[in-house]
Amino acid sequence: MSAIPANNQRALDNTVEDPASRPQLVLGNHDFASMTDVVCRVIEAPNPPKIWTTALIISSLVAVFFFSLVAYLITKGIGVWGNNNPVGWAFDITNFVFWIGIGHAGTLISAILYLLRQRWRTSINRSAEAMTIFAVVCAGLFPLIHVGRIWLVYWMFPIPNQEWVWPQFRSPLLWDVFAISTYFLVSLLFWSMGLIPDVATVRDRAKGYWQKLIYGILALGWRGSMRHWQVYEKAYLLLAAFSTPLVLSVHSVVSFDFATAQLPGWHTTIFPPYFVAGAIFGGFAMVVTLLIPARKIFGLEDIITMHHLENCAKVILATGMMVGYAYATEMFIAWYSGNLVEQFTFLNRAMGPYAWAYWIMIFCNVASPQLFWWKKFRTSIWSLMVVAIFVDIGMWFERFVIIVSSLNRDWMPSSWAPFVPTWVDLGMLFGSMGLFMTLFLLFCRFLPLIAMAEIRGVMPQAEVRH
Amino acid sequence: MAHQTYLKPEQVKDDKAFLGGKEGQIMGIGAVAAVAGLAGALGLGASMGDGLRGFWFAWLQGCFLWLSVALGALFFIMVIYAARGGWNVVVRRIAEYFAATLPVLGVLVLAGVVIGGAQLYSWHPGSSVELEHHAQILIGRKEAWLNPAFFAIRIVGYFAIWGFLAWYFLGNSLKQDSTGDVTLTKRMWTTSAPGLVVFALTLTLAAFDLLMSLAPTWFSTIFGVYVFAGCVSSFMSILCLTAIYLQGQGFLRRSITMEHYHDLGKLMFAFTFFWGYIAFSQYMLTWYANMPEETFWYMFRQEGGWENWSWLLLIGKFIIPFAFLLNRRLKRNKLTLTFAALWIPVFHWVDLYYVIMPNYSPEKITDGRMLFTAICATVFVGGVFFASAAAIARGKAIIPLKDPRLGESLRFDNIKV
Repeated sequence: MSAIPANNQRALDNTVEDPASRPQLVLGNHDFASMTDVVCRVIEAPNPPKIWTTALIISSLVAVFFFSLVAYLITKGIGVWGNNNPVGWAFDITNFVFWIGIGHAGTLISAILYLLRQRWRTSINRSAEAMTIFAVVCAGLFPLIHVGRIWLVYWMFPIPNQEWVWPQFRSPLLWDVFAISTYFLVSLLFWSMGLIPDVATVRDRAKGYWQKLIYGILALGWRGSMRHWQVYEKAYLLLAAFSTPLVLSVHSVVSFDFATAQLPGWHTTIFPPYFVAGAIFGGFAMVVTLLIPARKIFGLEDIITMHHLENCAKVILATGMMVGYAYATEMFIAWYSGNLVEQFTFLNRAMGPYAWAYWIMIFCNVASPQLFWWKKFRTSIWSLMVVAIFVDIGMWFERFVIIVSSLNRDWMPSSWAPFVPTWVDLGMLFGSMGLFMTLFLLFCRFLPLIAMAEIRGVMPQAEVRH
Repeated sequence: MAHQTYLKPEQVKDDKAFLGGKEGQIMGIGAVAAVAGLAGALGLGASMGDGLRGFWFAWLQGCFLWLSVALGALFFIMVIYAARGGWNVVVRRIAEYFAATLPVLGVLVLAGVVIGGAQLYSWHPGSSVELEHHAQILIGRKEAWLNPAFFAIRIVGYFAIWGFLAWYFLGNSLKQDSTGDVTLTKRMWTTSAPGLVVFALTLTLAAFDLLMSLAPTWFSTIFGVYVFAGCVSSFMSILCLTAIYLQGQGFLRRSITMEHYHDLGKLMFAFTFFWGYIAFSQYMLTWYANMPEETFWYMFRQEGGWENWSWLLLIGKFIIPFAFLLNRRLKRNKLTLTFAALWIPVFHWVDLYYVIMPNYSPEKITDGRMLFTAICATVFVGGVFFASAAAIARGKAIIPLKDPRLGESLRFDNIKV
């Protein structure tokens, strides 16, 4: 194999598929040094792009608003939400499941796609992993604040105490505490370990004292020796193998919160794989939503190419079809079961008071990704962005539909009650996005957005020639 | 390793890439196995004195094992194209021949559900099983779905779709052997994704129909995924065994390398794990919610001796192959890999027995005679399966000769990448 000449069409458009060869993953005829320059420029530029500064100001204000609402909630109690009886869970758990789902693409890309030897992952894995961690941060806050008496939240942990108050280990809510904290720790470890060689690059290029010191500490003494690399690669493979079951387990445990119950609409055996597919679906949509602007603002179009976005679109289509499969299976089995309550619940979902939410969900999650059957829509920035945003919305509504439409019509019509969100509910949903964006924007500017060390391995210059 | 010389794509046809007479031998052995198996199953079935009811359950068991392999093969082919895969080209043709047996298996399955339908399915109007009152009401509500005519039509539909897909991919792939036309690959890339959608729907409905409706009041939304997981792991194993057998006979000695086996081993491991995950999800959620309308299915499998079978399944289908295949060295050694590849289909068979047979004998575990009837039926369908695959392969290459990604597959190296 020889390097592709500059005048070759495929070096310009890497979405052209040719069975006889593999597409270029980095465009623009970069070599290792120029690629490193492109990535490090984001950190090293004396002034960040104006739009970045503006976005950071807005999102940090929104984040402050979020924390003010949290303070308000804690002082007043969860009565400030629209939750009622029977709708004991509403926006709080919807937001929780939404964010934890967003957090799945990162680990999928960094662990499962790594094991599947998907070399294109190298352009997007770093930012997707960062997104995972920030999404888990947002997700973790909601169960924490929804307990009401937040000062007793440590009761969820099995800490010995003289009253012998002990968590209920048979409750999936407690499994969540462990599943999510494990996931957070492992993702953080995976991400920060992957950062080491790149942070070392930034350290070596740094001019200022503080930059040298801080990146130096984060690089943990990395010298790029053969021995370092050998240990690093082995650790990376092991962490990938450990993270793979976590991708399945976290959202499966989240699905147990619902599926272990006897509630029609919640209790169905397909929930674990269905939730995992949905999480990857929503997570990839968020990756696309964030990376399309990011690659533009920071000038990374040669590295996060159209080929990468097209692959994301394919994953969105595939997982969207899985989610559609789950919706259809649930509907069919509700009828097939012959159980009248089950049948009522599903009819109520599609035609009851929350039918609008159900059809938004179907439109966003099942109908809109169908555009991705056509290459034209997979390779257009606008259609990618629009569908990705629809999916982000649709996946929030999916959780809302599951939670609220199953709860609001209880077993006895006398205990039916509609759920109406209060301004605090809406504000917290909006506010959590501010928190997420603040963290993500800070990451973009202060840490290498692209896994440079890994990208080098997929560039033609790394090809071993005999 | 780095200096190993790989076969070039144009050299593949000289790597004993044609069965060249061997197919006659395989067909002969297959035919003998089929006749002996059928005779054994019929003889044992008749001796049970239940009007061949046990025989038809064994028939379904035998068919479904090989149907799993063929469906796993069809999935493998389509997923390779959809994911633009390359490493697996050297073993893809074997999968194509396996999938191409689907119409033959369809005839056997259809014969089973038409002739033996009343014996197998208690929802069948001709069934002699006495249903409880509440079961009659529940089944009455789904008569539109569970009735013999529509049921048979659906089975014909599933196999027509699968057969079409299997022969479409085999046909185009064979055409490429002579023309080397890359547009054929592009065409199959395009078809594979919708093919997978149709495959997922038909496999799910077939699992609901053929297996889940054996207990007509029971339902589980995950059941299609459960069956799918078993299909893929047993197919990967049979593919592995077939490749090892063919190489032992001197075929494709340099085309298929340890690297390919290693990856097949990884997929065997992955789908063993996936099956464990799905089976756990189904069991745990049913157990936890503890609703009689669902738990009865597991209750039958936890008493009257069936509990031993359940333990056998848990240990044999999940724990042992999981622990065994974790190790890279064991996946990269033909002897140990052969052991795993034999083990997994055997325990898929145990799984099918676990799903099917408690419907035949809910109170008490089946005796040795029933077990042997099922084994004979499996040998029968297995004979038909391999004989048909060999017959289809007659005079054709057992490896894609001009696939544009053949070179990539021949040069494939696991550790380096």
